[in-house]
Amino acid sequence: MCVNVYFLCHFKFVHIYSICENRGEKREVLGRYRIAQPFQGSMHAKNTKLAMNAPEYPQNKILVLSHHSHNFLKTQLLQDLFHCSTTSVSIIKDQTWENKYYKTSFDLYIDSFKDLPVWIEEFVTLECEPLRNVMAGIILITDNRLMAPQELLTQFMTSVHPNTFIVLVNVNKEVEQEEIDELNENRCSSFTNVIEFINWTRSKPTINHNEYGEKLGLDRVQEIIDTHDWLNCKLQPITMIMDKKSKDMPLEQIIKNLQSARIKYKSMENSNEADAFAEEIAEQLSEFL
Amino acid sequence: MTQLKYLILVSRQGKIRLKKWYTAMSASEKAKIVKDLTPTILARKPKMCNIIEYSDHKVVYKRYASLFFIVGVTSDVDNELLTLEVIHRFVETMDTYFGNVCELDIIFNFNKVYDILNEMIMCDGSIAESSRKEVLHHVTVMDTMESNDNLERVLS
Amino acid sequence: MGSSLRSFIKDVRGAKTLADERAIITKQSAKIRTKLRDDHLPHEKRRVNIQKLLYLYILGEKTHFGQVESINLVASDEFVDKRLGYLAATLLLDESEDLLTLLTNMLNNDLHHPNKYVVSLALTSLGFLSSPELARDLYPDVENIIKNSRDPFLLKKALQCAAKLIFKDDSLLEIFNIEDITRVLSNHSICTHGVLLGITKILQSILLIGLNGNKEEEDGIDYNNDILAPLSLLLREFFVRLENLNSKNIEPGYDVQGICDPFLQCEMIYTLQLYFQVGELLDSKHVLGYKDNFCDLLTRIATNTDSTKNSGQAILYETVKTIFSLNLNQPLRVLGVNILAKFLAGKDNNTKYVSLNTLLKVVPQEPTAVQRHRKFISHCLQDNDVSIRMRALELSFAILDGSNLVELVNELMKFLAKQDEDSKDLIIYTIDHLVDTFDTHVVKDESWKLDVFLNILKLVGPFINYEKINDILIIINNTTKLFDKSNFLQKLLSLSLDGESMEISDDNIGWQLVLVWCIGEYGDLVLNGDNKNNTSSINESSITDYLLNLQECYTTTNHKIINYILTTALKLSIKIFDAKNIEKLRQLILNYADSTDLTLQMKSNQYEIFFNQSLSVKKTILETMPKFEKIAEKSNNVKGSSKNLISNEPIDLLSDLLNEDSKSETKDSTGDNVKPIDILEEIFGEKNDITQPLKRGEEEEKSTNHPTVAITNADVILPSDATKIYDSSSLNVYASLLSVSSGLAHLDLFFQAKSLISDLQTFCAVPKAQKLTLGQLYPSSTIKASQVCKQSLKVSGSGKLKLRIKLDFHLNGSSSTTNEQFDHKFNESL
Repeated sequence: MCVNVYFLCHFKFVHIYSICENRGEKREVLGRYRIAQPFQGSMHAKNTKLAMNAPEYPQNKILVLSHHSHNFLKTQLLQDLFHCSTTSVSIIKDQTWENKYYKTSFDLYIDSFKDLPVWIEEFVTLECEPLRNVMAGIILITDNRLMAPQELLTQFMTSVHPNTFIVLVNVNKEVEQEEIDELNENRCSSFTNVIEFINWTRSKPTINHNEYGEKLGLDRVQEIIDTHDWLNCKLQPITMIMDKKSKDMPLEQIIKNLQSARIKYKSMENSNEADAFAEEIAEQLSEFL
Repeated sequence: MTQLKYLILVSRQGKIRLKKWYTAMSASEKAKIVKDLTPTILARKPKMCNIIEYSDHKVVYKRYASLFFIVGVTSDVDNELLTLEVIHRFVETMDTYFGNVCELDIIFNFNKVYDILNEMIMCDGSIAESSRKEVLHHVTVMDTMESNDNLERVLS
Repeated sequence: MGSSLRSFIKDVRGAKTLADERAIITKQSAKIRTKLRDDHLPHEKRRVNIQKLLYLYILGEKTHFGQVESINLVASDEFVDKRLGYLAATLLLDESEDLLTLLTNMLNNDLHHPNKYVVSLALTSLGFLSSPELARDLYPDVENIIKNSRDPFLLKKALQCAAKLIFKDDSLLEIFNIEDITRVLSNHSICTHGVLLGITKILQSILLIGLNGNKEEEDGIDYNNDILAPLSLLLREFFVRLENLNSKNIEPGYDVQGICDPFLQCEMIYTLQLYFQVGELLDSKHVLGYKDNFCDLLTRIATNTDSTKNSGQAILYETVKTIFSLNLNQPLRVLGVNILAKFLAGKDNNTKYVSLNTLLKVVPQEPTAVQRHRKFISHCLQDNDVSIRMRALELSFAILDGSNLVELVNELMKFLAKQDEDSKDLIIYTIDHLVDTFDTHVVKDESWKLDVFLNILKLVGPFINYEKINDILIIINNTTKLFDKSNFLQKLLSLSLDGESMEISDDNIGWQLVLVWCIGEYGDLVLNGDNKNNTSSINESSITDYLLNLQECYTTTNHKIINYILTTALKLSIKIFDAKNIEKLRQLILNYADSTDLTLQMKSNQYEIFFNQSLSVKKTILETMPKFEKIAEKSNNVKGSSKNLISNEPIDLLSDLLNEDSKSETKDSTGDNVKPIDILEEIFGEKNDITQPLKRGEEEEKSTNHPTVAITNADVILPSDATKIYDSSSLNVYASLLSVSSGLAHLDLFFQAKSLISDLQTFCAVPKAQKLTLGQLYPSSTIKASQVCKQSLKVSGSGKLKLRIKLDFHLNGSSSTTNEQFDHKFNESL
């Protein structure tokens, strides 16, 4: 696994464009600015093609939105998901999103509304297009029972950039998971975007997995952000060579062991035995890597 | 018996996370299969059976967490119930390898996933090893050999 | 706009653009491009590039330009490069690529590499990418591993790989040495599950060659004696191993839900199945001597395997498939059907699916055993899963016969009652087959039969297409007792005329069409009949008004029904007495005297002329339809071929047949035998419309979007007088001369497959003085083993009757085409 990460480190210098063009194939869209997209970046090449007006800015804003009356819950969600304790500010710059493979920086936009339809109507205007284009994702905290009219919601979902994820976090305790599942089933094939409904209440720890073993609640939101394609963003790979396992045996020690093993290997006359020995050592060492 | 035609991993949102073809097909045939199957399978209701007919063959699929495992099989030859077990074995093996595998692991380690798969399924989609332990053992030994190569470079 | 949205936009606008950075990137790309061209690019970088490329591959981007690069990586000495290189090569290349030759040498070297993992990578890759050339060149190296290696890890891969190579190039059978297998099999320390899987694969390859190929005599190999006989020595060993696997579950590493290695068990069962298939085909006593042992073993597996978990069910399913593909003894077949029935009774939809699917295939072999489980089958008609319902539906029709007709039809009515628009395909399917069912089976209780159709119309009238409505009308027309007919119309009318009843929706065209037609035919029976007094709402005025209203509803939207209404108005006018109502009907007809629809206009004008004729003249013209004899040819074909067993494209098949029929009808109708269907068509003046679906696109949808229709070949039966004119290892060809006269001969060819034949193409030639017309292959160009496909030929001209026939086809799903050619001289002359 560590070797793989080792490769990853170099990805930020390689440009898909370069590979493609090298073979005489112009790939305009792929060639758009994407400096640090290891695998993530190229994942959504198709999406990028869809949007001929792909943003030239990094798509690195996450908007968290709720009704005024849910501001308290929103604060909790910001805390739980982004470890961000601010309440009043509406723009928080340079947050870090980190998982076991990469970290990247993003900006949090926080907003609340009195009337969702009004908010959506403004958000879908041409004026807001530059804003929509830089959205990595939108987290909308709602009461599923008081949802905006379907057409409006659909308009909202189609207005965003094809690479923007939308998570609708339900905070009404009466809404059962089955209802959420059904909403997801109905939505999943009709949009190219990642659009998901999530059930969440902070007080009551909900079941962590559904029947497919899929994460639920905020864990799922986290997964959605993890697997999100950070368009035009720099992803910094996390080096896992210094994983907690290697604490047991420092790298120098491993190298030392390996050196002595190699000497022994070379001195062995029976090649079968030698191979077996090499394999054994390899296995031993793999424990620590 | 097992004679897979292809294996495709698709996220719940229809993003392709892995694919492997076991029969020779033209690029356009492959593209059509992916294009046709993804929406069909994503739209299936949870309680529906996991076997569908498509073109001249059958497709067995199974959802694990946010990923759909889609396998094309040979009609009348393949045992669809066994195909489900093959998928399950594959998932179990990845689970052990990655420690509770998730979509993110597969995105960032797709070549490892291929390594595991190739230890399990060979040639024209036939099962070559039924023991999870055996598969994992050899994959990890090969991983170590790779690291050794790297270390060797460091040392030289 | 809200202030926050404004501030967000401001923030976005204020952000530094990335244009400058992009310039840097462009510069960098240029650098990388140069570097890629540089042969000395460090391997590390190559690897990164290849990894990135593989990622693009997963996304579906074009990646062929990475093929050479991946081969370069394979050439590296470092394991890390080789591993990735082989991975990339197997993904980016395929068996048809010329580039594979570049790999030959590297594979060759790596197959002899001291590091077993390098050898394993080479074996795996060769298994994925084996062109016939690679197979020939590298088989000795793979064989060398099988002969010499003691490492199960390498052995299992070498066996798998060899299996593929032998299948790719069956001339390798000549050098294949069965003793290599025997030796591995007898060495318990190296014969792991993986190795056994490899052995089953190699045996499967060899047996499939025996099953498909014409190995006899050719290349000096006598398949039966040189291959099959020594191979059969392994049978006993196989029985023991399989028995042990099935009865003991002691290795936790291979356990799946309490079952020991279902993967291996299934492979072994399938291998044994192939053994006996080849044995039967070649009539090999070496193999067939073990048949009883095999049956005993299968019986034990079938009885002892735990059927509660999917893993056990997989083994049982494999066992059942084997029982029926070898058509083993009756007790085993019944056991097989019972296992499948048990699957049906379970909760899991996948086992239900495979069970229904398999039952459908085995009905011809074991009809009564399947019928016994009709309760479970009917139960599946109510399943939530549409694919289960569809299968259950097909199976219901497949087991339907005189003994269970009433019961099954009642179940089907229950089924129809629960369907909605989403399952239109299923409804149409049901109607099609119900109509056919009533054509084939004589139902004594005709009033029950009419009730069934009343129910059908009530439940799913809006979804029935015109063609089937026509068939239903014929069935009503052909009902013997007038009382039943009038009773039927009575029921239709009381439901439609009763203003309160909401049972019949306005868009139920099927219902309306039938009702309108029946009024025209049997209106007098209801109005003058015995039950006249019972229902006061049915009288001359109410019926007349009903027609008028209906006509108003559809005046612009549906000309089909207007056509029906016009004819009915005319016919009804001689059956009623109230002048006011008669005048209303005349006005109705006159309404269309200058319709923009030419057919309606013509009809209106013609009917107006009729209307003014004397009553006696009218009565002769407008007599009730005579009994309609269905054309025998049609019933034979439709019944015989597609009543129960659904063909590949049932809709096409049906409509093809129907088209043919209507042609023959037109021809025949000049004779004495009056074909009422022509009258129907003439009166309703819409011959072309008949096959048009009720709702646009319905038909299309049906044929393209048939998710669950089984692929079963229709039965063509080889006539007893057919003579065999060709016999090869893959098929027999029979000819049956239907008629020979001076200048013209009709004959049928029958192709009987010995193993699965697909995409059969026939090319026939006749002597120069003759002309040949070749019919279509029927039922399809795919023929399962022992099934027959027919083709009609017409030869005209003069001279000796002589045929040269060339056949192209694919055997057992193989992608390569097999060609066979032969000549045949008949004794007859033109």
